[in-house]
Amino acid sequence: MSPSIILLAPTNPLAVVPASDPSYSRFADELRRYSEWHVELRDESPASDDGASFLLVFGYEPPEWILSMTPEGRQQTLERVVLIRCARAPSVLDDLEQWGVAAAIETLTYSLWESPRNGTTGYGIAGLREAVASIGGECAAEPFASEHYCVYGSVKSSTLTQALAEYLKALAILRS
Amino acid sequence: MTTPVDGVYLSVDPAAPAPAGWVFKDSLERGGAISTQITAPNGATGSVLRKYDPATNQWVMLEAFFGKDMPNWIETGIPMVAGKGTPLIAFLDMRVMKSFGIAYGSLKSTKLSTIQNVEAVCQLEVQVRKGVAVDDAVRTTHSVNYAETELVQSGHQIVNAKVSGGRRMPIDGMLRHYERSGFRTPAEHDAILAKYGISRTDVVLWDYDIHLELAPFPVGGTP
Repeated sequence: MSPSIILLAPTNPLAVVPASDPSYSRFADELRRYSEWHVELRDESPASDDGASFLLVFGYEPPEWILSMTPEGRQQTLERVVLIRCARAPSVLDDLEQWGVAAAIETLTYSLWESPRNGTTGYGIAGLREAVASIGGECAAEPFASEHYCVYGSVKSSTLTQALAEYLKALAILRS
Repeated sequence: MTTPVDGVYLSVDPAAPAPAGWVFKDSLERGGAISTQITAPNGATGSVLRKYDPATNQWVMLEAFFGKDMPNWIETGIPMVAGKGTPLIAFLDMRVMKSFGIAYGSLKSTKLSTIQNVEAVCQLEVQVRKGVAVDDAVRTTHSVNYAETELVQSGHQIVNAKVSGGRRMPIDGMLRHYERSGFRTPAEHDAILAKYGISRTDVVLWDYDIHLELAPFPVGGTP
């Protein structure tokens, strides 16, 4: 069975209802096209996790329901989490080392993707060095790289969603 | 604008619909910060992340990014400048201040976090090279200038500034990060560097924090 991706749309009191935000569904559509995996948009809640999919979280930090899990459950879940719209590098790399998430995308990079006027370049995902190396990605120099993570540029992908699909496929193979 | 304009802060309503053509998407982040994703009528996008600590009355400006062609001004409510509107970042920040329930003139301090604005970094470096103390030099940088606008309009004056943290490294590393992401081109950065006489290999302070001590605006301002 192919891995799958669940985009967890924010459900906090200030957040826009996911169904009324076209950028969430566009992000899901593009990921589906590039990964050829099952990609689903769900409201963020513990019930939305199937225990196996990559969880894409729109937020600066992993959700509280993940961080409050038992240590073992938390680690296994965080390894499947990709933070979208995280705090900016290089300081966020310290947080990634602490959380052990699958990857993170800076707010700036997501914001550039969101605007058709700008577009993205395939650079800007903070990924695990091992997975980045397996796709031939080019890690930025310190301080935009840490012990296990680096912000990198893809040599094959020219947009954020294409690069993310490429990265997650490589990570899934490494972990299989 | 060095004095509060009557009614500007009062007229900002976070619950009001965005002005025609604008989209504001707020989200409450873990830890209590509010992020706002902005789309302008021309399609330009940006984001602002702010936090408020009611225990210390500190306003924390975590980060802000505006894409190319983002308008600098917005027309809504009572304008700061008649016929022109209010600076966009000042309006957005006052909108978030109101969401947090920050009363006019009530803040004690502001922290501007991890400054990576190229113009501001260069302005600080130029002053420091002239022998100006870093805490004095930061007062004239872009970062403090734009923060001061919203702070004044929300009833505050800056009484002290301090710089902390940061990285002293060749500026090229930071510039390349933004160039590879497509935020700015090398030519755009080179033009800014040339304006300040700074080269890519020059070691500068960046990713620093600015701490501003505040007091209520003395006279003449009403919410």
